[in-house]
Amino acid sequence: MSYSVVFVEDEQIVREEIVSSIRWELLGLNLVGTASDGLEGEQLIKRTEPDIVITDIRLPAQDGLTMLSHCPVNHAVILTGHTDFNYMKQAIRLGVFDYLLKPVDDEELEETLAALVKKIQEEDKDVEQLRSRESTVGELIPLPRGVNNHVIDATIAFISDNFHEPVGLQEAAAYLELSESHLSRLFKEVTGLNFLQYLNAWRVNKSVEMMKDPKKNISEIATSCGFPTPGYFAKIFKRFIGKTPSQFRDEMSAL
Amino acid sequence: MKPRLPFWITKTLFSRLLLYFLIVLIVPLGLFSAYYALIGGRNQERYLKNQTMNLVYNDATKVADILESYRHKAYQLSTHPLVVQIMEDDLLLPNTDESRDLYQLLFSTMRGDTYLASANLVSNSGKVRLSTHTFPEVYDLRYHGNDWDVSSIISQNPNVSPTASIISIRGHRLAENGRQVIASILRRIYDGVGTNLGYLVIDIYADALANQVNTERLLNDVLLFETNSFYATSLVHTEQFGTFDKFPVLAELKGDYSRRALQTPTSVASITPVQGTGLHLAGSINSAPFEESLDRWLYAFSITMGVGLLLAMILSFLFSRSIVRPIRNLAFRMAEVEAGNLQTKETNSTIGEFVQLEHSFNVMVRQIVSLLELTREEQEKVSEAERKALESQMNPHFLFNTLNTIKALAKLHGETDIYTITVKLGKLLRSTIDNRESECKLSESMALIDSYLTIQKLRFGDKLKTTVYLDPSCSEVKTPKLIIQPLVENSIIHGLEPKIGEWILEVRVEKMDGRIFITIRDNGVGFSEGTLPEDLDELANSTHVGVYNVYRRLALRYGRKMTFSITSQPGKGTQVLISFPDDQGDKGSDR
Repeated sequence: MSYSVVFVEDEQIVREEIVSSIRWELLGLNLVGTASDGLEGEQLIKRTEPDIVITDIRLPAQDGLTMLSHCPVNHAVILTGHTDFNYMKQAIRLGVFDYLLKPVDDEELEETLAALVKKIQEEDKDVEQLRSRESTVGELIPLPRGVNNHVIDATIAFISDNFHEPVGLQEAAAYLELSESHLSRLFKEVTGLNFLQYLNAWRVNKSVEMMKDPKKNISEIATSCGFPTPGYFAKIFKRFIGKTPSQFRDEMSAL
Repeated sequence: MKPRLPFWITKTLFSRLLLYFLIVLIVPLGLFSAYYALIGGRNQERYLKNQTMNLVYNDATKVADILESYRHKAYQLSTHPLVVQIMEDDLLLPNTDESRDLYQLLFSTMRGDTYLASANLVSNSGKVRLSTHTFPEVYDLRYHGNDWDVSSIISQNPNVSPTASIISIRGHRLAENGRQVIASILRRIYDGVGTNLGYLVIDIYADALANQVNTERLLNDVLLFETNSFYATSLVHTEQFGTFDKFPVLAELKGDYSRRALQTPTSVASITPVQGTGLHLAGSINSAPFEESLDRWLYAFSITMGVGLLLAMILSFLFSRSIVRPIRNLAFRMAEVEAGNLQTKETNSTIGEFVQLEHSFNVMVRQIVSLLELTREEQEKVSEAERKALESQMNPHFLFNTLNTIKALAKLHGETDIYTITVKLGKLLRSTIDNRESECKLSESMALIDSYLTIQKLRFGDKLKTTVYLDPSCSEVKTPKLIIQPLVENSIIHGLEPKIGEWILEVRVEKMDGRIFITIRDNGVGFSEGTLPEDLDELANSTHVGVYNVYRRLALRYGRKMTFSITSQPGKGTQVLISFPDDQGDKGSDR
């Protein structure tokens, strides 16, 4: 299985060079589209819902970081000539995987992408394991709870209370008065899952419950479970369940 | 600006020390005087009373002995057959054997101490009158009506046996020989059938008693007195005698004549009976000398207090000054540092703690100086970079984006050399421009060397042979940025470029015994004779500013734990060896 990539860069020569130089197939990637400005990029991302976004920061219409914050992007790599501290800070908060400086060594970019692919594969493996586990509380995706660590228990309680809001690691860390990196590491250590996976799995579980109500449509369910767009919901749902939400609902009602 | 004098320090320290010294001084003195006032005074009084009693008792014993000896003589004489015979005859003719024998008897009985006492014989008719001295008129029984009448005295003592001796002091008078008669012993002379024939009287002169009592001169007066006739005489001032009204001290006795001591306002007196007589002896010691000694003691006390107070003040002053001075000096120097004078001064205190304090202060000032120097250097560097950026009128982002475009073009056109040189140049520029962090990992430094040497190799081709080695255990060690690259650049520009033939350059980073060793070696032209500075600090004023900067930054970072040596042989090459401790060794391993 290859991961989809969107590349946003305003300079045509640079765009062409990257598109042609990087050995996408070899890395297990599939370049689904390129864009030359921030808005076009946002539309492209929302339409194709790629696994990875590679983008410059300085872009016409809107900058790359704003664009990322508007879209449900799990993994991003920044390519830029700017070493501005504020940009970097913002990029870290958006959970950007790497921040490469221009002029970019193509080999370096390939190494970064290879590392990213490895990371996504590992995450998928975690999800795989999650699905194979037996549920104890009648959930579709069995999630660990009551882990005998009061910090992580409090984090799980926070997720349980706030999953329908657009919250993430940043909000949870602020609520618990911990640093994001510390919480992230501790969460992974205790539950075996990273925070975002856990949150998304929780949301998917909730959406499955809601689907039992035939009056609610898919986008309504997506919004009330805290997913930013129905498309992102569908993508996450498929990753965890193996089917799209509508397929799942059809099968459920057919039973 | 004159710094404010820390007045309160002087005041408080001085007054406190003074207080402590005074406490130390007053407490023992106070305890001692309290003891003296409560117990010592009473002891003194008791001692004085005992003393008086003992003295008076001893004197009374002596007086009793003396009187007893004279009484015995009186007895011997009055009962002697010769005396009785003569009294019976009532006739004594001069120049007969009988009269000579009687004289002989009187003198031998009195043992010749005729200057202490006299013996007198008188018959009832007064026809026989004999004395060891001139016969006293008062005993001439032919005449009557004298104050001192032997028969009346004897008859006044009816409770005394008629044959006993009577000791009296009422006969105090001036004898015919000019001596004071202080006491008299009277005795009747009887014949075989008990008829009173006459009298024997022994007059005791003052010297006999006065010389024997108060031999130590401790008593200021000794009185011998009769209680039935209220008559007294002084044994010290023998001219004083008479009834009790002449001796006020005897009035204090209030009729109680038992043996005791008593305190009067001005003296301590004691009274005791004289054994074997009806007399009593009283002596007194003036308590004034004792009170005087108390006064003297108080005087000494005041002087001690005064001297102590003065000493305490002087000591407090000296001690507080010895503390305040260094503090004031330190405060003064702190004010100077505050005002910007960062000179260090030697200490001049002799108190260990202050030496330590001033030493620490000096160390602190030195550290501030070196920090200021570092900050100034960094500011200079920043302003230098800003100036350069302004001069070039070029936005670094534009530069990097342009390099990126060149790189993309080169790639698209298959120009791999251009591609490589652009990417490496970009990295090189990044590390030199980027000054957000002052330290970087050795692996980053070596990546920079790699970029630099890649470009240089593209320029010079196969002529340049390089060996680069980084010990893997060193790659995470952080050092100041740009310490290797300027030295490598120096090797190429000054060492290798002027040289014909093959160029060899070696850069090694190794770790041994917890120290990092960095070697940069070339086979270039080397330093020509005499141009290599002995002392690296001299580099500051030379043309080798690049090397000096590296040296200086390493020295600031590692201090004396760092070594930096340049060895060079003209025509053969140069080697720079840097070593410093791996002070983050432990931190690096658990990451």
